[in-house]
Amino acid sequence: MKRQRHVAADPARNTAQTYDTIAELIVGALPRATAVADELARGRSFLTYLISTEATAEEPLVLRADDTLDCDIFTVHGMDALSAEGATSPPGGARSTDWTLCIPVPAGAPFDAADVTAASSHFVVKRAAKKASPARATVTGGLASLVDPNELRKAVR
Amino acid sequence: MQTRAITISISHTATAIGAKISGSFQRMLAELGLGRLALAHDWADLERVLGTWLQEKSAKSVVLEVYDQVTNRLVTKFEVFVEYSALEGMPRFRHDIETSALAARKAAAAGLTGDLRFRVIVHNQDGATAMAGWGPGTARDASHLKRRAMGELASGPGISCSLEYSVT
Repeated sequence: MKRQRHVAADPARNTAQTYDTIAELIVGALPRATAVADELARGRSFLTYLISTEATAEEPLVLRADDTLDCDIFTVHGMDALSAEGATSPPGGARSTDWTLCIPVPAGAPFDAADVTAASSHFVVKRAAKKASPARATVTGGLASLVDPNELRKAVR
Repeated sequence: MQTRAITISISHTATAIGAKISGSFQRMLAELGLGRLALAHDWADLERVLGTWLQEKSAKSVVLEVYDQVTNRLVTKFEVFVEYSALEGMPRFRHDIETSALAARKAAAAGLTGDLRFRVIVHNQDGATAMAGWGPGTARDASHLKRRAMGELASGPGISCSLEYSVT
């Protein structure tokens, strides 16, 4: 069963705090796996870049374990972050010892797919980088607070 | 219908702007071919100090210097100017990371050569809170560079910032 978690980022949390929250969520989802936090730390610079540039607001991290855990982890920013509920560890990984985290590699990132997969055997690249749209501005607040941003993105796609 | 009140403070905006400046600088460095160096840098530390200096309205600008390590000469410079205002009106957080990428591409198009390294400088008002790991410094001479404005980079309640880049 596909699940989703939405983790409040800036302005509710700075990037380091958001990374820590995501790491806690993943570690909590995999109680039998060993050294999960250490493995995640190998990708800390990738994840903090994706969080601070809001890449993970649109392209989630994907946590998978066996056939029982499959969870998209989005970050939420701006006004939406201030009203977001606390994200809990997704179920399904209680018996899993192996896991993967799919990490997006957007165009213009300071790392590439090879960097990600070389950092940890648990990391996979989600898909080929998408070309960045020119001069895209993101606005949150006002009407944005009345709309579920993820539903809106699905509708646009 | 349910309603919910959210209190927004300058602290929230400081957190958001700090993250956007951090992300913008990393994006610019990647565009300049310095992605490896960017990955090795402690951006959390920059966000930490900006969280304090923006909240207390000390920070005047944040500068990304790119210089030739051999000659110590400044090759290009990106400067984020900070403006403060009253907390009023509809709360809104806005950013445009692609503006920073465009600035970096323009700087790169001007031709950047040398053994490039970078440094981050924060210009503060007098009386800014002292932060561990940060001390007084001197900016590299930029008199040989021409400044180009790129417009707003990010804004939120009480704080907005704009981007300039400088090239020969």
